[in-house]
Amino acid sequence: MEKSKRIFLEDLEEKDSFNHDELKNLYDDIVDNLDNHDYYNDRELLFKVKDIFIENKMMFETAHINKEIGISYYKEGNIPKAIRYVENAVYILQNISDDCDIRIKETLVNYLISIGVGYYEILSYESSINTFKNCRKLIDDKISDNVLWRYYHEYTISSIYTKDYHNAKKLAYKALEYSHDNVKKGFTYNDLGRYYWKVKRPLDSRHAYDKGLELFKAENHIYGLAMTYNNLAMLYYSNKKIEQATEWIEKCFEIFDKSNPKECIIYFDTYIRIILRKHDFGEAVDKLLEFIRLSDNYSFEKRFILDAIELVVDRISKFKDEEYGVKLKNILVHLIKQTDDDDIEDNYYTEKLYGYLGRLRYLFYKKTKRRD
Amino acid sequence: MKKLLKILACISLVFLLSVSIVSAKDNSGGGGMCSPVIEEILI
Repeated sequence: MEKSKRIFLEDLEEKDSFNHDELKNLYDDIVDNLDNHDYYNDRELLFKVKDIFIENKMMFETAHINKEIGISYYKEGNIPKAIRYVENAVYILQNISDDCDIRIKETLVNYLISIGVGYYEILSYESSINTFKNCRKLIDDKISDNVLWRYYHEYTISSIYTKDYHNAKKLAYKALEYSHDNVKKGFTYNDLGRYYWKVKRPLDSRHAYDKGLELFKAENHIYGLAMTYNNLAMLYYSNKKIEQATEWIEKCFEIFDKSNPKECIIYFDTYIRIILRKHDFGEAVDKLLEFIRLSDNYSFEKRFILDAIELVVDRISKFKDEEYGVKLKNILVHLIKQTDDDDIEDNYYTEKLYGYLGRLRYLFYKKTKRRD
Repeated sequence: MKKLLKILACISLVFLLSVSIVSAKDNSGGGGMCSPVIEEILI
């Protein structure tokens, strides 16, 4: 563990009692020093501080730290646990707060939005939409425009996932009302693009994405541009225009080559999907290997590699292609060996890898046995 | 009868494959669970 974190823990363990202000200052320091990669040790510290907050009946702080623990799990890719801890934070705030305090209301709304997002990211679309619906009663014009934009933007996305397209369109236009900068407008036009795509209006979809591109280009917003290129690739892919889909997805990856190559990991599954459409398992597995080399084992991005792996495992399993099945199996074994976290229950990523490996072993073990 | 069952099985397989090709998980453009939208001012 890093020296500063050890010192924090020692400080906490030494003392029998704390002055509230002292504790708040210590907590501020801890939060400022949280690492983007040292999740396990960060949480050890956060859990210790949480216990102390509870002992000292500092409930606002307990809510906040539950949220921080949740975010730590989120960054590691363990979304179910992340949701649980942010829900704890909401539960605590709802039980101790005065509904009239706008800061608490905004914080509650923001936490609920995060929960709604977490649910759709793990494909629990009903839970996601119900979270946004439950949040409605807190929404009023005292809430800041930034939070209102986030609410309507994420609620649009959730509505698209639950196929409530009529509502999605209304929410997207609401989000536009609160988009006071090009970047927020760009994201909202992407939401509209996806809405039109889902209701099979590809020309309107293309038009909305083009607007999004214009706005993101004005700000040179790399992430926004890449996302729009990816969404255009998906639009053409679903309309069976594979060549154009390939052009758009390559444009998406080209942006990242220059700046941060790892950032393109979230678009791996689109790339793999397009390759698989050409039924080229060899290229898919080779590309997957390339993507795995790019992804970092202990970073947030690694859960996106699971999407790409799942696509390839799925397709190879359906076609029972032994050559690439065995190659993929070996890749998974190697990936699992790389993770040195022994606590499998706490490691969502490793669990998923074992699941995929299990499927491939079952399929290709039977094939080998038969030959004997 | 056997031939009919084989044909039905093939049709189901093609349908299943086509469903898996079409029902794509797209990039939603969501901001993720940790949003920098507001400064938290509880503490």
